[in-house]
Amino acid sequence: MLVRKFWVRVLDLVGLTLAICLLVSPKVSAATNYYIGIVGIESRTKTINLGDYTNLDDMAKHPLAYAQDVFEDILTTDLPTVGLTTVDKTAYSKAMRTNEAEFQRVQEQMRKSIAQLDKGDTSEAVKLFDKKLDYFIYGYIANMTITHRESIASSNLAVRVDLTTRIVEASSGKVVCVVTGKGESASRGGGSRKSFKFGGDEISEECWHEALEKAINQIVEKIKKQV
Amino acid sequence: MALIRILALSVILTIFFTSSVFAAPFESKTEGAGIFVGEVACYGEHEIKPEFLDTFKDQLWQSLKDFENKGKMHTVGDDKWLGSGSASSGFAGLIQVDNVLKDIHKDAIAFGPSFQKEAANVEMIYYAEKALGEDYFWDEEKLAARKQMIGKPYHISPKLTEAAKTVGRQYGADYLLFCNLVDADVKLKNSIFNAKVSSLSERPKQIRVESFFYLINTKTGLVYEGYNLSDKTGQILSLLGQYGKAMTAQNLLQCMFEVQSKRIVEDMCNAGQKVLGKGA
Repeated sequence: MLVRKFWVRVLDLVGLTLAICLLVSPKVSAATNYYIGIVGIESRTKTINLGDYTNLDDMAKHPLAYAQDVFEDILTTDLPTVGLTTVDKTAYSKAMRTNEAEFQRVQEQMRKSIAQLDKGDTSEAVKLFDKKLDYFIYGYIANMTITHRESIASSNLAVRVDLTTRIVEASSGKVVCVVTGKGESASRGGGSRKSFKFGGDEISEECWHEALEKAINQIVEKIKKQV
Repeated sequence: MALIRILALSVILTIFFTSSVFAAPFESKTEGAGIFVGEVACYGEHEIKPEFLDTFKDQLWQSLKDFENKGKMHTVGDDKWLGSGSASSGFAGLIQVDNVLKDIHKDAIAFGPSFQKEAANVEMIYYAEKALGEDYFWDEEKLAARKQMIGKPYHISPKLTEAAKTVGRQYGADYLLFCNLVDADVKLKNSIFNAKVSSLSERPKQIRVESFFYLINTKTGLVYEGYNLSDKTGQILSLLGQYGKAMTAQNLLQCMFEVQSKRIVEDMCNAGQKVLGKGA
């Protein structure tokens, strides 16, 4: 009788521990089936003509290429933690690394995809990926300028970047999430080859790198909250 | 006995976990009223570039999402995504729905008590004259009566009320939100002290952003007109402390858009929904 009671209690304990383990284990595993495709980043500043204010038309190329790289890099490392599997542009990535013409073609395709996604049409974006996707993510640089930080002791220059991203449902073309983020660099570096010019001011590339990274990180944090 | 307990527990847990599998990652909340973000456009005298309007709309979306947690509203879609449309919904296709939304927006502006024909663009003047009649804008009595209506809800035309009802049914929206960014103006200031400053970004500027928003109840066709004006004396002083003395025109605009979008969402949730609820 005692032995039987002992075994009943043991089984009870096993049941409880199983229940606790299942409850505590993260629910993320249930949502890993969702695939998200990173389309890329485009610039709105390029098309804004501010005349004498800026020579962004020439300068937008470097930040844009860099922003795209950082955007893909940060998202591929961060989104899987919230249960979204990011899909690389697998069909093209290998060819892109070795072939400049192919790289240009994919960039053109990306621009076309973003323009179409804006209208709720996902047909062009699907061509970038060879896998079936649930969501597309793309973004815009909405603003990129220099700010003057002045105090009694000194005057500093810094770069400010504003980014907006949209997440689109692949099946319907519906915008499910719009997130904006901003980043401001802390310091001013020396002059460099790829410096960012604005009016009479010049600021080094490490500053706009920093500002872009901050903006993208802020966006990723906001997306994580909404998932 | 213990085995039965374990079995019961596992059944409960399986139900619990399978239910969470079907929850999509970006599922919108369903508490409060459903808001369909309609057109964000400029019907003002001076044209605003579409890139700025898109950025403003993104800011508006962000502010709406920030406000969703308070449970007063949730977003159901926007005019960029209209779906394919079907015969049963009353619309033949995507382009027609787009035109309907544009017409609802213009109608809400034209019947709004704050509408000024002199400060509108040609498209808007043409629509207002068509909707209200050319003589309307010369009739002093009517215009005086119209001014008394500021802050009170009013109706859009019956034909478009039906269209708004159809849009509401199709997208599950209780309200349609439209925004008319009338004016965004940046002025460079000149004074004897800063005449020598060559860098444009260092020169003092004045900014003025003016916008109207229209919240339309899809069931009754009642409209709430909200007005926002931000200029240098209002907000910039607090922003200057944040970003330093000299800001570029783009930074100023970006800050204004943030301020305005937050104001619109707050006004919409606090005043707009109350007024339209009472009117209904």
